[in-house]
Amino acid sequence: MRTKLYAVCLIAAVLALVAGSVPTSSQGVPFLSKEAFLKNGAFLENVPKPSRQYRIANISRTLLNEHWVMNKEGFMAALEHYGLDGQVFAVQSEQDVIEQANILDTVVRKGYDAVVVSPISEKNLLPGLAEATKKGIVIINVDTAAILEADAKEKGIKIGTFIGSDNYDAGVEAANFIAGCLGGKPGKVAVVRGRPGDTCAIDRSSGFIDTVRRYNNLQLVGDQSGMWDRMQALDVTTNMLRANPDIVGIYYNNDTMVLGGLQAAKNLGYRVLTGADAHKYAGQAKTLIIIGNDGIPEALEKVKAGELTGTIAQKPYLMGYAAVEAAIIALEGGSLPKVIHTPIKLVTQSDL
Amino acid sequence: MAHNGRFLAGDLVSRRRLRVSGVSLVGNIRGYGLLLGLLVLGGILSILSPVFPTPANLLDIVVQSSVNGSIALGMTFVIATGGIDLSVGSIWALTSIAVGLLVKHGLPWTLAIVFGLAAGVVCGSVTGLLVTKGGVPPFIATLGTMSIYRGLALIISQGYTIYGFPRGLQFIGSGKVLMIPMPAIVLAIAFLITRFLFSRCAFGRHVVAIGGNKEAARLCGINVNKCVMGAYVVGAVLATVGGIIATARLDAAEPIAGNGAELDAIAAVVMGGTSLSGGEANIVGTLVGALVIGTVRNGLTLMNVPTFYQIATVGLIIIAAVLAERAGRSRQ
Repeated sequence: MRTKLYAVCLIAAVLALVAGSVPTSSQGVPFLSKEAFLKNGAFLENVPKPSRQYRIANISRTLLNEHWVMNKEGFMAALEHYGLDGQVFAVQSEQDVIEQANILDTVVRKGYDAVVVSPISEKNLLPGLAEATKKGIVIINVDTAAILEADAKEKGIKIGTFIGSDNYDAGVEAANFIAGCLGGKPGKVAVVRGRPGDTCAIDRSSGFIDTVRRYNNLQLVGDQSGMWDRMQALDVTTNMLRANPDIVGIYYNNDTMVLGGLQAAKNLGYRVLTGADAHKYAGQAKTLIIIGNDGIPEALEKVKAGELTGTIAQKPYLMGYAAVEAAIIALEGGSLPKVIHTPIKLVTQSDL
Repeated sequence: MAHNGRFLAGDLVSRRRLRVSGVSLVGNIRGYGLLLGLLVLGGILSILSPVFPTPANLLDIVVQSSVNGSIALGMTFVIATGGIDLSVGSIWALTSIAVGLLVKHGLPWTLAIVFGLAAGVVCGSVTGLLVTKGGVPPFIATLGTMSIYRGLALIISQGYTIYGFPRGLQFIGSGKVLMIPMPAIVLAIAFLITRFLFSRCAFGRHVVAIGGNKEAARLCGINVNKCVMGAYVVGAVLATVGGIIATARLDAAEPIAGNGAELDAIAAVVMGGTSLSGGEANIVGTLVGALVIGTVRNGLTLMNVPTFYQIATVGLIIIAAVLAERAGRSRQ
C-alpha cells in the first residue's frame, strides 16, 4: 500500500517534470524583438569580419535572473552571427564573489581570446583580470559592476571598453515621469530598492531620490528594500500603502519587484494609471503610477495590457550582443571608446 | 516533561501527561512566553505607528507570514529529529514551477496542485533516503538537494517566470472567506494538522523521541528510518504548500523563488523554542516565531525605518527571543 502510494507520487512528479520541460509559448513581445536595435545583425558600427574563429568567454553573474538570461542570449546570438566560439559562465547566486573570481581564473588559463565580465562587485575579479591583461586577453566590462579606473591602473588591468546603461539615469527618468504626470500638483512618492549594498540598486535609487528632491511638490515618504524579490516587494508595498494611503507614485529598482508591487496595488484596490490616464488622473485618491526597471517580457506585457504604468528598459540582450562586437573590434586591432552606452528608455503603453 | 505546546522526548512514555499538561499553569506560561513577547512587541509598534493595530494591517501580517509560517511548521518536524532541511526554498521553487507549467499546459489548477504536492513528497523522500539509507548528514544532504532542486526548477522553466493563472488559484493567494484572507486560512489549517500530528499521533511522538535519543528510540521499537523519512516528507510537503501560497499570492511561479527561505524558517523554529539539537518540538512556538518575524518586518516598514536597520533588528529579535527562552528554561 505504502509502496504503491510512493509509486503514484513518483509517477506524478515525473509527469509534472516532463510536462514542465516542454517549453511554453514564446515569451517575447514586439518591443523586445531581438532584432529591433540591430542593423543587418550589427549593433555597433564598423564591426570588422573576424579574421579567425575567436573564443570568447562571458563571466556573467547568475542565471537566476532574467536580466542575465537575456544578456546570455544576446551574447550567444552574436557569437552565432559572427561565427565565433564561446561560453557563458555563471555562479549560483549574486553573492558568490569568490566563486566568480575562481571561474575567471580557470577561464584565463584556458586560452580564450577575449573575456566579457560582469563582476558582482567592483573588486572581486581584479586579480584574474590582471592576469588576463598579462596574457593579452581582451577584456570587455559589461553592465555592472564597472571596474574603477583607479583599480585598473593600480593592478595594470587593460579594459577594452565598458558597455552598459547608466543606472543613475534610470532613477532620474522615473522621477521625471512622475513629476511630469503630476504637473505641479503635490504628491507623495516612494522607492522600492534592490538588495542593500548592491551598486546598481544604489545608483538607481539615488537617481530617483535626487530628482524627487529637486521638485518642490514631490515628497518622498517611503524608501524600502524589496531585496530584488517579488514577494518581499509585494509585502513592502502593502505596508507602505497602509502607512501612506495617499502615495501617488512608486519606482521599483527592477521589474521582478514591480510585479509584486502591482499585485499589492491590486489587492488594496488602487487603480494603476497607464497610457494617457497617467497624465489625466495623476495625484487623485486611490490612483498610483507604478514604474519598474529592466523591461523584462512579463512587465512589458503588463504595460501593453494597461496594467502597469511603465518600465525603464535597459537592453541586457544588446549588452551581451555588443560585448561580442566590441571584443571583435579590439581583437582586430580597432579602437573602442571608453564607454558604450546601450539605450535606456521609459517604456509606456504608447510605445508598445 | 511535556507542557502545553512543547513535546519532549520523554513524552514517548507518558502520553497521558501530554493530554493533561494543557491545564498546567507553569506550562502555559513557558509555552506561550514568545506569544507574550509578540503582544508586547505589538503594543510598542501600536504606539509608534497608529496604522499598526488596525485589523487590516494585522491580517496583512498573518498573510505576510503565511509562506514562512507554513515552511517553518514543516521544518519543525525535521529539526525535532535533530536534522535540518536547507532545501526548502528550492523545493518551493521546483514544485511551484511544476504546478505553474502544468496549469499552463491545460491541467485544471486543482489537479496541478495535487501533482505539485506529490512532487513535494518525492523531494522529501529523496532527502529522507539520503539521510537514512545513505547516512549522509542532513546538513550536507540538503545542501546538495538544495542545489539539485534549484537547478531542476531552472531547467524545466528555462529560467523564466511562469505567470497568469486561473482565478481559482489566484483566490488562494488574494481571496477572502468571511473577511479572512485565504493564505491565513491555509496557514491555520497547516498549523492544526501539524499540531495534531505532534499531540495525537504516534508519528509526532516518535519524531521527537528520535531527536532525543536515536538508539533509545530504536530500542523502544520505533522504526527510526521510516519516521525520519516521514519528517523530511512533511517538511517538503509544507514547503510545497508555502510555495503554492506564494505562487497564488504573486500570480506567478518563479524558479528563483524562495532563495534563503530556509533561514527564515529555521529562525522561526528556534525562536519558537524547538532546539536545533532535536528531541523537542514546539509547534505553537514555531507559528508565533513566524508571526514575530512578520510583525517586525511589517512594523519597521510602516515606520519607514531604513532597510539596514531592519535587517539588524530582525537578527537582534531572533537572538533576544532565543536568549529569553533559554533563561526561562534554566529557571525551571
